[in-house]
Amino acid sequence: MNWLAEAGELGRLVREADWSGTELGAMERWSPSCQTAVGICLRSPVPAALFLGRAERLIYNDRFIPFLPAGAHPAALGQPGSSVSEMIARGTFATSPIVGADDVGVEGRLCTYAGVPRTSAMDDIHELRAAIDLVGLGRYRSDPLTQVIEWDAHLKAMWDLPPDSPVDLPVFLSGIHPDDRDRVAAALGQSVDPAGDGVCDIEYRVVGVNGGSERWVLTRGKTIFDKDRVVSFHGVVLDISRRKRAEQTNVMLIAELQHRTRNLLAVVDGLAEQTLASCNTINDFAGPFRQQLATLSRVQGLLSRGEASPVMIRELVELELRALGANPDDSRLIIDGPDVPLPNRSVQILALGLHELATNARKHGALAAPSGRLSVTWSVGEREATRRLLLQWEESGIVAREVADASRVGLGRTLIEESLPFQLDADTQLEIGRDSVRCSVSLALE
Amino acid sequence: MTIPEQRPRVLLVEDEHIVASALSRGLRMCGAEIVGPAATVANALALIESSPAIDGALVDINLRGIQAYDVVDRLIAQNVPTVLSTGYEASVVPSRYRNLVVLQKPFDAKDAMDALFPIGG
Repeated sequence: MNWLAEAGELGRLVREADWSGTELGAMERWSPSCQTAVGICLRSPVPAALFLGRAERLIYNDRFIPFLPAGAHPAALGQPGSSVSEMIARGTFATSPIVGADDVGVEGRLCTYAGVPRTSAMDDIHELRAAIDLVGLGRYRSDPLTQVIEWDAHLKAMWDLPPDSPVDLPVFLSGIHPDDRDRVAAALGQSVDPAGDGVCDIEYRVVGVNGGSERWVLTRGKTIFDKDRVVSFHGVVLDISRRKRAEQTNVMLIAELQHRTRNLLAVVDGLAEQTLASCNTINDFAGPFRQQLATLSRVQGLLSRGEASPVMIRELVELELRALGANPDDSRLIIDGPDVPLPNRSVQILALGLHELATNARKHGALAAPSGRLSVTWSVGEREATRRLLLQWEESGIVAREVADASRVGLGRTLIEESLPFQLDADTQLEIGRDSVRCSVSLALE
Repeated sequence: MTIPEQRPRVLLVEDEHIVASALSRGLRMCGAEIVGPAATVANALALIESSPAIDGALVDINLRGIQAYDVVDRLIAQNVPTVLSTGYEASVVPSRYRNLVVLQKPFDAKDAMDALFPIGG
């Protein structure tokens, strides 16, 4: 029974079935044309079914299984085929009679899947309408000879017109944003020029006939010419406001990015100059400057999280201390205060100030000596109906220094005593003693 | 640049302190005397009100997120030569200020002085 080899699950089931009890008789006695038809059916790349003999007994291939009523497989094999023939009559399947060479007449029918039934022209129109509605297209047509303009209800709605309202050229133009009217009129004029390609493809703003809110539309239209005479002009309009808004957001984001980048470059430029001025030799410059750049880089990371997730004072303090190798869990360190979100514009300059304080502590202060203690604490207060952050930086147990790096301290002093008050209207105090450092910062949180 | 005989008094309006400090130093090195710097529109307007004579102004058009055109308008009304500075594209400046020089950050103090006091100007 080689002709049933490699014919899928159904090939096996057909081979294993006992056909001798049916009027078809044992399989090996089927006519060659029947055997060939069974082979073709089982190996068909598309769903296929075979109705054999007087009783139209059903044989089908693996791909046909989904077309059977639920649960009918495999019991349907060999059964009289009335249950499936109804579906097959709908035209989903192409039917070929099996006619043997020995003149016994039609031995059966081979039905192969022929795709979705052919639809009528009306079905096509319905489908087209559905597609147009789904996309949200407004349609128009105009006859240059009679000057009649026809719009569908969807397009009228874009102009804030009721569905039964008549449309003419002045109505059309009055719904367009005044700044875009000339451009639209020019594009339309060009599309009815027989010398051109007759295509109108333009994006413009619509405010509606009542001068309502602005929306963007895209229109594509085509002029039909008979020789040089315009026969008709028709096309579609699509509301693209959402896309335009996204594009405008993009443009704004890019402008904002430019703004921030250039401002940051200006700050880097100023920092370089300030740091250079605090160096005794050029060799002293690279280290501190690179660390300031690292601080700016960390701040960028924090700020890039966006408005929804503001920078907290605790994370800024911990970030700058960690960057200098201090462990916030160290028992010599106290970092304490409530959760306070910082105004975005305060983060960068505050980070630079904290960085200078921490650098000083690491080099000469509390973080330089085993006996040193550093406490950074904060609270929230109120002054003149404005919430303010009150931050205290206190170092004690410092090994009295012999030679203070006066210029470097000067850099931190400038940031704390000048930059913070100037930029954030902060009140600040900085006292650097021989064995202690105290700094207090009070700044508005709104 | 053509420096007036006396040190010209230049109003500096810039909200980023590190930038304002560097520009102040740079402008002074170019021979200017600094009025300000001012970080807010209110501060800048108060300085214009209270300062005897201002020979020129360098104004960042965005101060703490607020546009500084009130300051620019006041300066123009008083015929003070004004140069704008910004991190944005120069095209964001409204067209009514199109005859003002717009400097894009970062820039050198000398560029600002050249724009404020052009040679032969």
